[in-house]
Amino acid sequence: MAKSSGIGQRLFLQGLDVSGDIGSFASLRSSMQTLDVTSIQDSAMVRIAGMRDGEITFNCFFNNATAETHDALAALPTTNVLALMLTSTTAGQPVIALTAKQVNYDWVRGQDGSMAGTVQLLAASGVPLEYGLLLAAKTTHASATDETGIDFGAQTTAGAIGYLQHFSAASGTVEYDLEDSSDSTDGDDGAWVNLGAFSDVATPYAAIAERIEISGTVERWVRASTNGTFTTAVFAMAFRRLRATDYDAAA
Amino acid sequence: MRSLPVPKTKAAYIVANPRGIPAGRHILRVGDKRWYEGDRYDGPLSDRLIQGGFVVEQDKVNDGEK
Repeated sequence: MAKSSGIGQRLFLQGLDVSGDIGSFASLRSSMQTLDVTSIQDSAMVRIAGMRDGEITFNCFFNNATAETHDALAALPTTNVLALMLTSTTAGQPVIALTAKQVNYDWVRGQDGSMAGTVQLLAASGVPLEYGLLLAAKTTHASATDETGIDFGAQTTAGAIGYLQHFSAASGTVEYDLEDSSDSTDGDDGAWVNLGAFSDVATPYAAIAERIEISGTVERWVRASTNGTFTTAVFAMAFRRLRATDYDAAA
Repeated sequence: MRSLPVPKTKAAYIVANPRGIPAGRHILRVGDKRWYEGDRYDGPLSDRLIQGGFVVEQDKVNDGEK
């Protein structure tokens, strides 16, 4: 890990890769309110942690090709959408995830002829903006395959979160799984245990996204795995290892 | 009269599902081999698999059914 730029990022939104239509992020916000509990005996402010929140706001270009951003964003769905922002397409690099409501789809037409759109996503499921690590960038598996595992360095015991963005498949039923291992030496060998299973994806293979919660022990190695009998599944997967000090473990 | 030593037999292990993985999904993997809940486990054993409850001795499974 080192200092890096914002070049080469991606944004996946509910199983749609909108990266090519996004010009910039106006906001990637992870915030926490504070509650003032200053008493008459204090000589300076005393605050305790309050509600957390999250926001992703991006500026986009107009693209009304079939099944592209206009089709997806103009619908302003009333259900939650799962956004996954990749800081890099390299496995093991940080991602940002947000289960959100898309609250607008606004346009400004400039005198120069430009069309500039803005979309704001606000946390909507009692879960703030989350940081995790990428297990698989937008990847194609011709059949059941394993990605090389990521070494997190140590076992943890506070559970984890898994994120899936399923873009498409050609046939069969795709089983997307997270697996962990305590004895792998290279992210491939060793014994692997199913850590968490995403919902089966079958015909018509509509684009979907899913966030799953996992409890208990997670071993040091974690990988993305596809199983079942299928052809040509395209997906991305990410993972957040929970720690005892996390907001949701401290409640 | 001393009795002959009882030969040690290798215990049989059955795959369990302590993480509550949905039915029909594999529980264990070694290479391309997959084991599902209820399968007899014939892969490499480790403390993690036993202590984590991912494999259970056949006798204990049978005892539990009595």
